Amino acid sequence: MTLIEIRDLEVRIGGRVVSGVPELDLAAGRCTALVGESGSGKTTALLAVLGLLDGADVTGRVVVCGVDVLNAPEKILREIRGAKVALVLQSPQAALNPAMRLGTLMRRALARHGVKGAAARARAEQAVADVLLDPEILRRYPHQVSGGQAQRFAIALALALGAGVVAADEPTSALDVTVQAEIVAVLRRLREERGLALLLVSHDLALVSTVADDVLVMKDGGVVEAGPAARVLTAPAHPYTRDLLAAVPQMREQSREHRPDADGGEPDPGLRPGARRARRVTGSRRRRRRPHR
Amino acid sequence: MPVVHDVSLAVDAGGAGLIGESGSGKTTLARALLGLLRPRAGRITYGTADVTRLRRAERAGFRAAVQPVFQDGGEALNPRMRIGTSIAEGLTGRLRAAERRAAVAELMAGVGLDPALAGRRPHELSGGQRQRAVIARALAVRPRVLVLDEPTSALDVTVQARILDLLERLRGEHGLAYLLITHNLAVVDRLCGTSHVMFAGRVVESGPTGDLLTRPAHPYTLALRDAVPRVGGPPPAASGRTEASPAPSGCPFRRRCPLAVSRCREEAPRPRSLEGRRVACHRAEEVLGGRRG
Repeated sequence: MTLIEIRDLEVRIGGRVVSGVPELDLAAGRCTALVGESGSGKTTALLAVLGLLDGADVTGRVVVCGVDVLNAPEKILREIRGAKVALVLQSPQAALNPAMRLGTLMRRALARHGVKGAAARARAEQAVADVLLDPEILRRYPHQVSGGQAQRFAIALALALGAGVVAADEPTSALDVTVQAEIVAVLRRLREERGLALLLVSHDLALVSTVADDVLVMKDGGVVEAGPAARVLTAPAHPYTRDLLAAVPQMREQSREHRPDADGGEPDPGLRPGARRARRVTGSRRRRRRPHR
Repeated sequence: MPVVHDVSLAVDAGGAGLIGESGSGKTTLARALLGLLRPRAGRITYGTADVTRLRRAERAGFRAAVQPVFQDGGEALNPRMRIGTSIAEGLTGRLRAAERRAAVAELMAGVGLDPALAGRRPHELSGGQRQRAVIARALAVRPRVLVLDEPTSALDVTVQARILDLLERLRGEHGLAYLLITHNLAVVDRLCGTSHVMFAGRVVESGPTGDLLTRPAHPYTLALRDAVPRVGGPPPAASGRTEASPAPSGCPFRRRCPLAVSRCREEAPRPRSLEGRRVACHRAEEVLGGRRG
């Protein structure tokens, strides 16, 4: 089932195209990622999906769960936001009302979508448990939880409202790698178990490669390359995608497979041209540096 | 409550990396090293001078020799001051206006900034340009040591790669030593010969960066490394236990450790030497042997 369909989307501000996506289809249980640098238009495309681009000149077709977003009245859009597509941002704490306990916040959101009383409480507790948070967190205020907990709460809010799509803008960029790994694990599980679809905006290609099924590489407001993540990120066709991949800092490490006798010597040469190139660069620098020590 | 304790480390020409999650004490340690905090116990020396007991005259020399470069270049620059003026503040000696301009232009060119940008204010530059300006200003006082606190975390991956290239080049040109604080293990791998992994205010593992990344001896180092996503790699490994607070007795990491045994509850591990590194873990031999839990 296609939850999001985009055709010939163009967003213009002051006559200039700041974001253009010719084609995007997101089905239940899938993840599509928009990658690129700041200013590439990836967040603007995400906001277009939620009908959040007041004042911009938006053309094309965006259909979310059967609703034509660009032509729908605000009342319909409000029902879509939250109940169909939940937005998860980089700093969730900034988006949560600081004067409200998380439980109150979630109950109010549920009430707005017609779920009240004991049913709301039960849904809130279930959703929180689904993202591996202690229900006790519902009694806390936003400043009393960590960044990772706040991010998982934002996902729980989406689950409680029954959203089928999570639109996430750099959801883990502000988090420690270990916490990021937990968020990724939660999202992967929800995709498998609930058929949750994920529209991910990120500049972290390594993260995207481990989460996304499909990738759109954006630059200066346009899509330069699109396709399955496994192909685009391992055998990139566009020079810009290759540049992005070569810029990802590489880390020496042995294979993560269980290898008790590994000597940890030469790093795995990598499977993609970008990796090989980047490693060669760091390798030669390292050799040049050594005599200085 | 001490927030950083029992830390011993040296910063030399090979570069020292401090790795750990937020709250592990990395930045506190850096602030102490910069002389911005007075430790309750222990010694910090620069050359032969005790940083905490510098006389007024010595302090000026120390402050020039050890320069900080923080994550957000925008915050470190006076928003009302032109970039060139900010950089010129660090220049010493009596200089005529023309000499001053020439020195600023040379510093800017040295960090890859167009000297024509000297008249701009910080908000008129991109994040990468601001970070270059901060580095140029730090270099104006001819430092010996740069304390780099997450110098590239706020930048796009391609910009990050260029800043890392710059830091690598400047090290050779200016004979600099780096203390690099980051949660990005790949960045440490590029710039630091030695690394120190901090957990809950203690250094739990120290040693050559390559050894730490290819064959961690502490379960926390292993968890940090395996949480890093890689292009085309498996999903990052999540422990699901990052919320557990550090244990107040015994080994502080034991609540998150897949290898914890009763000894870890009863006895805090002391740092000991093992295969070319210092590690504070009762079961380090097993971690080195490839055991995960």
